Amino acid sequence: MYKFKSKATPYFFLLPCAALIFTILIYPVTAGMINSFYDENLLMPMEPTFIGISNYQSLLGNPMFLGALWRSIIWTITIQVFSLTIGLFFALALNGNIFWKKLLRCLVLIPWVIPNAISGIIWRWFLDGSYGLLNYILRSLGIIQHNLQWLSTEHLAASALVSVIIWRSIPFITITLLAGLQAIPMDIYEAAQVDGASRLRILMHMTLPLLSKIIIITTILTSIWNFNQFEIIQVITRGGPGEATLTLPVFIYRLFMQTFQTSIASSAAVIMMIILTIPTIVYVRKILRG
Amino acid sequence: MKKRLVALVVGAAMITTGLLLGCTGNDTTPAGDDVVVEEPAETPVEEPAEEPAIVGEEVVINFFHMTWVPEMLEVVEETIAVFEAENPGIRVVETRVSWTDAPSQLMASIMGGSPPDIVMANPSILAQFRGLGAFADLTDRIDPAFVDGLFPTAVQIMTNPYGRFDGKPQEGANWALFYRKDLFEEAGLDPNRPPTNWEELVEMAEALTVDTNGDGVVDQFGFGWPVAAENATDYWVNFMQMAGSPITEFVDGNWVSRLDGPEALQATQFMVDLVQEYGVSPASIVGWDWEGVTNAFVSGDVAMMHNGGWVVGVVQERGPELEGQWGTAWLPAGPAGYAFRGHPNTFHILEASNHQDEAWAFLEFFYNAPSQIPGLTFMDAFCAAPGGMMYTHDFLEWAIENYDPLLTPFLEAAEYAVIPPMDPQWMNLSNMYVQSTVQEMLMGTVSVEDGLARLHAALLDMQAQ
Repeated sequence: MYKFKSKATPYFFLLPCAALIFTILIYPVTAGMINSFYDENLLMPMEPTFIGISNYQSLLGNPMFLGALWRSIIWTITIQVFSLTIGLFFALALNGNIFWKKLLRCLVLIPWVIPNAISGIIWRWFLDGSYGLLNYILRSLGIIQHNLQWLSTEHLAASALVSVIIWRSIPFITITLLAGLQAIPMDIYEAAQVDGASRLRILMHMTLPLLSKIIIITTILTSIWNFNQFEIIQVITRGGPGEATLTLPVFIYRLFMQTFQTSIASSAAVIMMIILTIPTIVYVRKILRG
Repeated sequence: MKKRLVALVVGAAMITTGLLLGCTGNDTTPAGDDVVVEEPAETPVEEPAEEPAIVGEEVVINFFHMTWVPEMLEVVEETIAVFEAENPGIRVVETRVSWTDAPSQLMASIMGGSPPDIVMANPSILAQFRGLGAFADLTDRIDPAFVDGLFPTAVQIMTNPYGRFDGKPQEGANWALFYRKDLFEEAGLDPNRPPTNWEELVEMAEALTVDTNGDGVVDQFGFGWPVAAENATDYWVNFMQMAGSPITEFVDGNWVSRLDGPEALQATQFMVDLVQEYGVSPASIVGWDWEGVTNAFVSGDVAMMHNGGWVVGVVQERGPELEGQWGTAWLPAGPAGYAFRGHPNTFHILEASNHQDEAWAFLEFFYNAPSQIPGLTFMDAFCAAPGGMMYTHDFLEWAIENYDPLLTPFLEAAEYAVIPPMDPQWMNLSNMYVQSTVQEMLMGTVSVEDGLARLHAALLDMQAQ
């Protein structure tokens, strides 16, 4: 009896937390998955009926959905490559002996601490084709002669938004990699230098391999966040012009909040969840392996 | 041992708390309102729908609205206070919601069995809930003299496809043409004669489209209108109405897309040509909302713009130096004549209401009782509070005397104002497909024929469902 109590105690302690997770996470996700097999519309006063995989079939035949999905994947990869490269560069710089190191470490965090919606508003005005600061700066420097319509031209709008999300991702990557760099013992660097290893060689054969676990985990986390990025896109372009910046989260928002087709929106969300499950499993495995 | 015992007790307490929290999670009542649940008689909102919302002898009317302008809310509160004083047996309880949340909250309240009695609606909410038969038929209650005093747009919006009245018009706004008189003079145009039809619009806009600094790039365009987000749909609709397109029609009990008609093609082609063919409007309008176009107008980047009546005050505020150098006028007539964007929002009594008579009594009071403003009813005062309009001839006379003269064309436009499509599927089409397709057509990435075909097919598909 005593043994049973002793073994059961931790589970009793876990119960409140488990109940909370069930209420705010497992139940809504499960409800959403079940809903994706029905034909519920919030503006239709009828009992939803089970329609099997019809919502999924309809989505997979919808060019707008496929475009949004493809855009989300390509954007996430592009953002990841650039933000990781720039973040690594910043981390290496901030780990070295540079002036105002502490101040710079604080400054690099600024994009991270500004709420997404505020960032979106700031960037919307910064990129405005008529009155934006960016055009003013570029004109002043003689780089452009005439204003560029950053948010009204398809390829410029897409490039601008990708850049904004990269800007937003860099601080987290920088700080995480910086923490990893600082955990590397200095003596191995000193030994390498004594052996005559060049800086590039040290970077490629010592620093990066030692950082690899952190790089993988950071990449997985930021990929998930960037794939889910909604606020910045919605505030700056709302998916336009045309469908140039329509990503999967914005598409789902439109379906759910603007047409109230909750079941199809749930199906799209389930597809998105399945896609994101892959990096999540990799992440969890990495974490469990320590 | 003692420690274990204490730990077990703490654990049990936490579990109990967790379970209690879990139980309250199933209750739609917020935790903070738990006390109220013990006294349901004093909180009509908590009562089930089957039971009449009566407190003692008192009938409670739930007034569901989206008013947010403080001056309008003051009128609502004053109306309710005076009405309740004159009708001691009826109490009016407001439910204030945002326009964004209104459709889903209204549906949830109906499905949940606690529908409001009176609801406010804009055209998209009206179309959606009218399609579901949610509104009570008011035809026999509405005084024919009231209808006679309304402008056609108001009568159109309160009439369902079967010719029955299911609501009453309230505050609304009209759209018109803004033009820069100074730029007209610079272009050699008569500053007191803005364009009156599409041909003149193109001619004048071409004259006003200028490379002002001679660097080979146009920096002043003739005409602009908002195309960002939902604006893309609203203004495109108006182009089609000017060309006489029915857009979508109610035939034999069903809505049928008319986006494949020649009028829709002509109007859409004209709209796109303003950017692509004539070059009198910048392609950047796809990123402009009403404010973006207004800024361009104030700075002289566009010489004419199509915008709403509230923008008059914004132009005055942002361009005080332009006083006297700009004017307002009716929009040019299209091939089918004048068709100005302009319509009232509406009030309705829900079919599911248990107190339709009392709700009607309140509406009648709102529309007929005199307010503190001489010559205006409470409803008129409600409409005048934000500088909007009530679509009656009496109100028009009062507004022309009391509003800024620059607003006169907007007020007079009520005579030719037209309502947006009342097809319940139009909102879905608009939000999912129209905005992006209109933008793509304007940018030239999708042809007019392909864009229209895509939208026509999508609307037919939605209508079939």
